[in-house]
Amino acid sequence: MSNIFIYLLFTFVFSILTTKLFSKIGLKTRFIGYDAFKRGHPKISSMGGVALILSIILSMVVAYFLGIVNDYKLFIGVILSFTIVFIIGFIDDLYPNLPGYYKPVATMFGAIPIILLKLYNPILKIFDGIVFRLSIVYPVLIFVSFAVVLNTVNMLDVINGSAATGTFYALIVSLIVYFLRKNTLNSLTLIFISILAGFLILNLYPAKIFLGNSGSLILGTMIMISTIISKTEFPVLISMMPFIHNSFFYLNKVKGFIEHRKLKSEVTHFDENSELIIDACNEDSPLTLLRFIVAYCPKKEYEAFISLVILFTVSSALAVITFIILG
Amino acid sequence: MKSMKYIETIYIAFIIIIQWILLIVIFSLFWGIVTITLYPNNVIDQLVKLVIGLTLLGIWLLEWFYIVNLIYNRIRRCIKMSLDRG
Repeated sequence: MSNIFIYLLFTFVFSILTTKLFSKIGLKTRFIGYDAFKRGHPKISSMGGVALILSIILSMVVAYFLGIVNDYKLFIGVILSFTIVFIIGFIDDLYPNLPGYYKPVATMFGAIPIILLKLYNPILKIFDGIVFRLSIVYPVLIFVSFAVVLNTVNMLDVINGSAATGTFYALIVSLIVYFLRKNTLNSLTLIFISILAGFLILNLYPAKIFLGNSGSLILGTMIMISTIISKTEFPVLISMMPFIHNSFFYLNKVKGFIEHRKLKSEVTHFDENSELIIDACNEDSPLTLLRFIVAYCPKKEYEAFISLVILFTVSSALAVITFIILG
Repeated sequence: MKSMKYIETIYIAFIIIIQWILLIVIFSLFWGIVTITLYPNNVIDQLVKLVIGLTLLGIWLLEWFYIVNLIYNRIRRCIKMSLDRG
């Protein structure tokens, strides 16, 4: 047991070092973003995806050789899935003018290694007594869920640390529910949590690195793989309610897959003097989560982040309560 | 105003709790429907389950949309009224 904690400490430190490295390298490349909610809109490296994929691959290789992940199919499936998703996101970072349907369609390919290597169990348990055997439909659901979850996480990457914090909460829920069910910790989820914790140190307000599309899609993949392997679909769905709120309202108003940056009307407005995020009050804009959070009382970026943390805490608590009450 | 800083967050948290309760009700209802009407495992059975499940989830999302819009419009009306009063 002490071995795994030393290993987790190693992945945590390695993740911090890689993230720090790419927060500096990124500023010398074309992979930069402008922090929309800070005075002067400073340049920030958006190579978070590269830092994450390197941390994941190295951590998985070490975990395999240490016997922490001892199933070779799982080892290969996880690495392949993350690599495919990273490439999809990296292409989107390189060519920002790709059509809106590119990401929802392409992200489905991330599910292929999981399905081909049969890393899933086609029994979908909602709660005690409600169990569906979906041998034929379950693989199709994995395909669709990959597209939905990955893009949902991508859509909430709106303020410093928002998507990564939401993912952190979803993974914690998956870990707790798995522990309550099996009385042991899921090593794969633990690895993801320690990598993400290291990354969050530099991604939280004030961020030194952005996720980029490749990073946010990797976060979605972490949620998907952890959920499928540890069979915690329903609790994780509940913990992701703030994500669902955000993407549903976006899609409902926009009526299609359009990137945030290509929206014709402003959703929120940043006041340079007061540093407040204000609802732009455009009838044509989607009622996203951030817009709702600042609708009555404009907020500074860290206050909006606190609001999101409150919502993630509420939904994660409900997810765990569901499992405790209903099984 | 300071005490109202996180009022929208409280509204959304409240909506999330309502939606959570409704989601559990919907899945229980779904289970009731599929166990009464359907025979065990085959393609048609699984597809019918999927269609019924997605329909119920669609209703759940529409209801979510309705509540959020209702509350948002109320917030906007409050702001407009206070601005009109000067």
